[in-house]
Amino acid sequence: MPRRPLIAVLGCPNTGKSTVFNRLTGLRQRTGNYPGVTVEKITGVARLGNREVDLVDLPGTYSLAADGPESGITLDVVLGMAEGLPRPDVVLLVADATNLRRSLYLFSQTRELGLPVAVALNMQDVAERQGERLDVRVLAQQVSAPVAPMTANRGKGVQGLRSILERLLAEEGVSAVPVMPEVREAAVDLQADLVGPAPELACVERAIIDTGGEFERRLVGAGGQKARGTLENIRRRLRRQMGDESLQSREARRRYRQVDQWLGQSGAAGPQSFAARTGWLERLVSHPVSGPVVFLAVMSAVFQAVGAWAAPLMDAISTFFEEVGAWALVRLPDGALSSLLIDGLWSGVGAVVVFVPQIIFLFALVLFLEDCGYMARASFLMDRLLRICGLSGQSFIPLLSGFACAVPAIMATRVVGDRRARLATIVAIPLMTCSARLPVYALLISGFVPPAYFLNGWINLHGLILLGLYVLGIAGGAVSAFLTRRIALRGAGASFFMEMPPFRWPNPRVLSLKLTAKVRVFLTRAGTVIAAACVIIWALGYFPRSDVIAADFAERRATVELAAEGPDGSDYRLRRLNAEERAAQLEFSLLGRVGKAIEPVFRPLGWDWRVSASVVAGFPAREVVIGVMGTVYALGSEAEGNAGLRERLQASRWPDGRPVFTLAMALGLLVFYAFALQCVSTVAVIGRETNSWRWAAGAWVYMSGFAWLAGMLTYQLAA
Amino acid sequence: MLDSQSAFASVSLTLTREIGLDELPTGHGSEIRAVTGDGQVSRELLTLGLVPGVHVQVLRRGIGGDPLEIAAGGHPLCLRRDQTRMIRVLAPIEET
Repeated sequence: MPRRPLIAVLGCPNTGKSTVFNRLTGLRQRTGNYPGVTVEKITGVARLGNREVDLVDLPGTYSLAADGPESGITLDVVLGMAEGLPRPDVVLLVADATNLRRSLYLFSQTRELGLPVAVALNMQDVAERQGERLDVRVLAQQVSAPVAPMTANRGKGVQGLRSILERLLAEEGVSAVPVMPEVREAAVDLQADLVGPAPELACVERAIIDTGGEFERRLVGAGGQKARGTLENIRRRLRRQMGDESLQSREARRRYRQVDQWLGQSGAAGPQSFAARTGWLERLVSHPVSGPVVFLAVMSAVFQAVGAWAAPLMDAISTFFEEVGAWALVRLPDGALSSLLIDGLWSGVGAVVVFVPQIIFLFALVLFLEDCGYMARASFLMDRLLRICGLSGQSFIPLLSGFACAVPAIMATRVVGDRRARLATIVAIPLMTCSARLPVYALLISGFVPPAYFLNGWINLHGLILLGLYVLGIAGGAVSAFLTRRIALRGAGASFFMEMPPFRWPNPRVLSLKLTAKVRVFLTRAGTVIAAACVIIWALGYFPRSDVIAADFAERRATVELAAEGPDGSDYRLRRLNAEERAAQLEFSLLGRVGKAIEPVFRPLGWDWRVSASVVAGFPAREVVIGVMGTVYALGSEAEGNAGLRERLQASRWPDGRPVFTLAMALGLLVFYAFALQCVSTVAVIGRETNSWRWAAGAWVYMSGFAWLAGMLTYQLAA
Repeated sequence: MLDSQSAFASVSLTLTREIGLDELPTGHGSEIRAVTGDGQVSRELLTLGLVPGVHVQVLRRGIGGDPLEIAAGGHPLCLRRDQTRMIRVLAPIEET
């Protein structure tokens, strides 16, 4: 049976390439990785007429020139050198009709490879609305390739593209006349000179043109010093021929001249001229004084709004889950199953759902600011500051998203162009105060920091400490990014490219789609793990069970029931006994034993085994700690809530009678929480996004160690 | 005769004087003469259409003059000052 034909989908970033890909393949997609590089490999199957074809979606790129193995993948795939993929039969180039010059530059390189190329002219509706009068048929003649105008996000023009692709599959490719014939000639000679398996001609050409690029590295790697010498001789000779202009400058000049000719012939509007940014709004947000003021005002408004809107909803949700749990507990038979259902699953689901309001509100505001154009201005403003810690202006939105949930935030770092800056951003994000830290902060601050007010009650000490923890997280993130860039990722950040959209009103439909996608990421990537962690921690805290404790409490319950004076009195004492039994069983369980075994490690932070066990339970998902503390401190299941837990924590004593929870210890615990990477989903997404378990493990070890040290110092200094 | 010749020489000297794009005042435009360097950074600039012969404008500057928003070939783009320094443009005539 003949294999299915392969179509490679190529295009510049932000051309809607993935939308076109999705339109063609529908849901029949697979994602994987190319071996050895952090590039996602997305393949799918499309139906063209009565045959099926494979599609591979390439990472967005402006050029076939490559500066590292990641960007080298594009040419590898197109030339059929990527592992597990045959040489494509057709290349589909997705172009942005509103920014056609850059897309046609890539096309100009692609058409020299000898493969049939189809052009999908995407975002046609926007271009038309902007007054673009390009004649698509003339353009197709000019570039001698079929051009399919389309609006992929509305599904317009997809059918036309399908029939073009179907037709092209039957055709042989013709290579266009190279724009750099001198380089082609030299490449043919060099290719013949090389020993061993000959590299593709296109790769040799790129090696000659791109000084310090990926294909130069490969050629020299294969051919040694001799190859380097030959390469440099060729470059010197060609450069002399070209009046001392660098080859890459000459290539870009010739290709853009070609592109401008095509566009001119097709009746495209010439390059527009831009007015300097003089509108009052533009001046306000980029002025050296008012710019930062507006920035601070917008940011505080965002956090105020999220806090004010989310808090009542979060309270309502957690009350709901507690009430239903308590209601069900009375009705279900006693035993492991009902405990699993209520204390494991139900409270696990509750632990996820409770964060949804905050995540929705913060992401809604971030997306709103992004779509109306302010975020690009904020990134522009922050670039200089972020660069000090080795980050970039583009790190700003991911960092801000980190205050909702690190998982979608780390996925959002894909917009950071520079690889080193992106990795540093990934390391900094988990230190931002995410929504899961807030319940722990709230409990500890309200329980152990004495209430105090300053300035006639305008400033409250509790709020001040919370603010301090936010600042601590930001500072920790800055230091982490700085150290990462200094130790693991030395070298100057190379590139910063950012496009600034005009100010405009966001489209509510687009906003809600993006918001849904973010929340879905939280629910599937983080939520499932949090819920699973709750169940696992429940099991660790439930098994094994001691018969001795069970028998002892059964006896005490019987005594209480016998001596029952009234229904109310015995009811309360029975519930207390139940809670105490659960606490005793937890002490006997695996989790309790781990807590006791690990207590010496956390002794310098002033923690007893109960706190240690709770914190250990929080390692997979930090918010689990509250539930475990509730059990450890024998909190009744009757929804005593935070107030009840607070009282029990305050009453907790060391064997010699000193209180465990002192102000110093609580502050140390808060600092520990500010820094520790207690979230399996974050560790997993770091591993996924960096394609390296070493980064994930490194981040976890570093942050845990840092948290311990900072917690210890805080406790020792405050005590 | 001699005078007018030397005057001509000084004008043509002014016209061909090259400065970095970062030295161009905000709101002004000029023609790209060259993109210096022969590595990744200059390659990226060239790929994005910042090629010799193209008209380029400075649209906006960040605090302290860094980064810059520029427009070339009909599209605006934000770059850092280090990058714009590699883009050599014709000095505006008013500068004399």
